[in-house]
Amino acid sequence: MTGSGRNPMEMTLTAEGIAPLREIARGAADFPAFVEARRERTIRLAYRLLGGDQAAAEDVAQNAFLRAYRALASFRAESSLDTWFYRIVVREAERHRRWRAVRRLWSSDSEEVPEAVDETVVGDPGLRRRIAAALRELSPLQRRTFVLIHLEGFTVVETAAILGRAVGTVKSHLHRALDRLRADLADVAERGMDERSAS
Amino acid sequence: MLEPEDERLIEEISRSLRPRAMDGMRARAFQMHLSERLEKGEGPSRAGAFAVALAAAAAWTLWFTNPPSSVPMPTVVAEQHAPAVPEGGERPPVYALVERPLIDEIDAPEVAAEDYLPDDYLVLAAMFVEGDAGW
Repeated sequence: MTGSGRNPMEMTLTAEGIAPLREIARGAADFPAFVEARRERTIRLAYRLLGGDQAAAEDVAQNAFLRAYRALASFRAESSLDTWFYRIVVREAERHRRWRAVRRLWSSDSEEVPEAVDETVVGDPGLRRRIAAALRELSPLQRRTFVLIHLEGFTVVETAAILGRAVGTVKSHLHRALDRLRADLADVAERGMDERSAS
Repeated sequence: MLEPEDERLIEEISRSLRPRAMDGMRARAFQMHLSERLEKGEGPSRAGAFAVALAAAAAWTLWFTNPPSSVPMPTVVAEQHAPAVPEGGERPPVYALVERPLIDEIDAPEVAAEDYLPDDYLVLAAMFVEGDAGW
């Protein structure tokens, strides 16, 4: 796969090593550095898109990096490397959701199995479950726009590029997502304010 | 511009929905695992992809031979209550049973088609999963 039989994670940009990694060299010094620079954000983005499942988020991140590496040759620099890569992450997360939905459908006909929420993460698991459920109630596009813009800090333009949608579409989905979350989680903001004033 | 209540809500969601921080050891394990998979030339979900594609094809064939009564077949003209499978034996086109947005989402122009090989299951899934709110 690497073309030279060497492990890309061990490769750096030397004169000899440039060829197999030349595409990625536009945006990152080498593949381990590429992974290192994006690992945390990738896991966090996947975690949020999947509604709080640590193991699944790490799987999604691994798969996204693998896909990115394999697809590097097709990267045409029409978008930034980050836009291109996070698009892969978002798709991988959705792919995982679908798999999970299909598996659930085949494993238990009508029984509603709640999606995994990692109980070992610091914080209130009940609140996290509620938030995850509220995010699950959003349409896929609403969920993605909300997570990318409000939780991950991407701009509307960047998000539109990542999702391959028009800026106006992203804005309207974002607006609807916030409306819906505001209605579903009205007490959460108040609770946050109370906690802060108490401390 | 966000209202202060919206900002608090977003902050609260962001605070609650944060994965475990990766310490050095876990980060190294992540890197090593990725390294091993790259070295093996393993693709995402390559393992079992053939089996999945085979199972999907078998299930698809079975479904078309004997469609479950709970899945509505599209009608040509609603008022005429046209049968799902016309008497002539002509079946509705496959794409008519698949949600259009799902097809659009599968399309990944920047990623080589072979990267998304096991997509058959998506089409299959689209036939069984109603709506996409839960996805």
